[in-house]
Amino acid sequence: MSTAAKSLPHKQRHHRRWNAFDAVNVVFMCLFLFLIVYPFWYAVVNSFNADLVWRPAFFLPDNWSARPYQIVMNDSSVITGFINSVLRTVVGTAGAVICCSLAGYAMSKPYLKFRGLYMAIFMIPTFFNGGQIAVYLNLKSLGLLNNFWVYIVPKLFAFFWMVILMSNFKGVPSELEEAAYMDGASTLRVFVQVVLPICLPALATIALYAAVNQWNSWYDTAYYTNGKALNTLSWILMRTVKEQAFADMAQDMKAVENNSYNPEGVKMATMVIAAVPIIMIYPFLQRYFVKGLMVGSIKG
Amino acid sequence: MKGESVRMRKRKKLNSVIAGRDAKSQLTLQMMVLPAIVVTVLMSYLPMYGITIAFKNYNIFKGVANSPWARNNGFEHFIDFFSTESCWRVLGNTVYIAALKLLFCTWPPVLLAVMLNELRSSKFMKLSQTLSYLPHFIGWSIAYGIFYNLLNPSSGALNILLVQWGIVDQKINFLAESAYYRPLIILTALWKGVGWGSIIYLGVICNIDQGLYEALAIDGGNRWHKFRYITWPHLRPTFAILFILECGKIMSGGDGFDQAYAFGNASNRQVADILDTYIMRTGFDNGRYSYATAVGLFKSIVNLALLITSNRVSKVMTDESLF
Repeated sequence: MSTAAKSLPHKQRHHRRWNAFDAVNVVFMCLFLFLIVYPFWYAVVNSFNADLVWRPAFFLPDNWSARPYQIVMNDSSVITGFINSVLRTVVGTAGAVICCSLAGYAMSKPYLKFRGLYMAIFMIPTFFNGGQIAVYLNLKSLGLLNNFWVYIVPKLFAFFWMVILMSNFKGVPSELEEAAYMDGASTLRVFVQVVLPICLPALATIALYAAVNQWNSWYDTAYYTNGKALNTLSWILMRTVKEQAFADMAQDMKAVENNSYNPEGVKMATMVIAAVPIIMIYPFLQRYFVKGLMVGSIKG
Repeated sequence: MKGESVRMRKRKKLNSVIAGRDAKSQLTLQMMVLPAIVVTVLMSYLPMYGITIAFKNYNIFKGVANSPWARNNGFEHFIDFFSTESCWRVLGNTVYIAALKLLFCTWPPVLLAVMLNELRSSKFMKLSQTLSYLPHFIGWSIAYGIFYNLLNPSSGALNILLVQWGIVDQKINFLAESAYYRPLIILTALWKGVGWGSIIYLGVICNIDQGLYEALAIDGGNRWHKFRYITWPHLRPTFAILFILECGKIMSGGDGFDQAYAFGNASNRQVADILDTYIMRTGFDNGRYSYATAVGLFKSIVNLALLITSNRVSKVMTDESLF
């Protein structure tokens, strides 16, 4: 918990004079940030580009228009994909946080019976697995293909997430738990009401991992489902960007002929719609995030 | 008064130890592990049985158990794989990409963390950190879409600029020409991962005792000495462990399936095809389940061997190890 306090070495540095290194460092950092951010900027401004004969906007478009967004929003497959992506992200994140933290808490207790055995069971699959085909055949025999739960169940547990949580739970002062036991609380109650609130940073870290993982997962949609009902935004995008190289020319001609819209702008709008929700999650979890990861990584 | 409270605390501690460790608590704890065990067994251990089809000729109607064994004592598919021409190309591509990633993508997060920490303004530092994380949150599909828009030869911004500035005469198809594939993969992997990768190093740096730096400053140490004798020794264990883990991903092209899938196309397949994309194509697109499983098994075993070897090497050379 002392990370925040110690992360202020800057206080002392203000006494030092600026020198060439500092200047170079700032210039380098600005250049670096430009390279990181510009691709995003380019996508966002061009998603508002109303040009029919496409001229990409480098910094700001000549003609602003929200037309690309209207077109995307009227596409029913994008709406279905968006709903499925949100659903799997919410359910999958909640499920993973619950499953990993329950296991992590029990595993943080050295007196848990069969702890060593459980640890081995959890660890082995991270270093050796059956491979994609065997996983697919297994999901098939479990009846999970073409089933919403194929998005959730395989991602409920991850060894590294549990380890981060486990080392966080170990860091909770045992006096707190003992005091609660003295008041007659049960183990589950101690866990939920005493330990979890202290370990919010770690929970937020895992939630962030799980949410990003769920939102961007396209592989399971591609190979474990078919039809439109379970389509997700990330797979729609993967297909769009994969096919666009070949479909571009034909589409451009058609769109310009119809005098309707330019597909470039629509593609960018779709990407922006897919990127914004998951990026928006970060500011909410940020204040917990770095702290939670640190405690886990250092002690684990 | 004081003595009593100490006694009370001791009593409390004694009772609670028993309270937290009785049979009922133990049962609750067991119940808490259970969901994770069930999920792991269902999702990770059951498929291990499916590995047997690597030694069989899997028949979709007969199932895993009843499919006939493959020729050559079951090693038919392994022999097939190593005798195909694509085998060495795919293996070469996989190892090449992974080696480039080990060489160019492992240390930049360390550098970024150190430079972020050297920034004078903590507000600018926070801003830089947050912005550098941005690309981590989007998937490779969106990343590819964005780079497609920047790099494609018909309307891409980079090509327009390169021609305008007279650097090239003809627009370059960065995304289709094989020569640009590997640099593109490394640069985009850096773009997406360097900021996120720096978090863990920055956290370690923040926990370094400031007194060490002050002592070094008194002894007349400069910035390089600070890095060489204080910062780096603190970062080295983390670096070593991440490097070892990365070595265990060599046969997966440095965890590069999503990226290779997004950036790969018909014109650059010669260099873009890695084991994972090859497995997916032969397995799912061509329906050769047994063959793809055999290739996947080979991949897993080599990955595991590399992990263990790099762990051993690191233990001997740097005294750092994962297990």
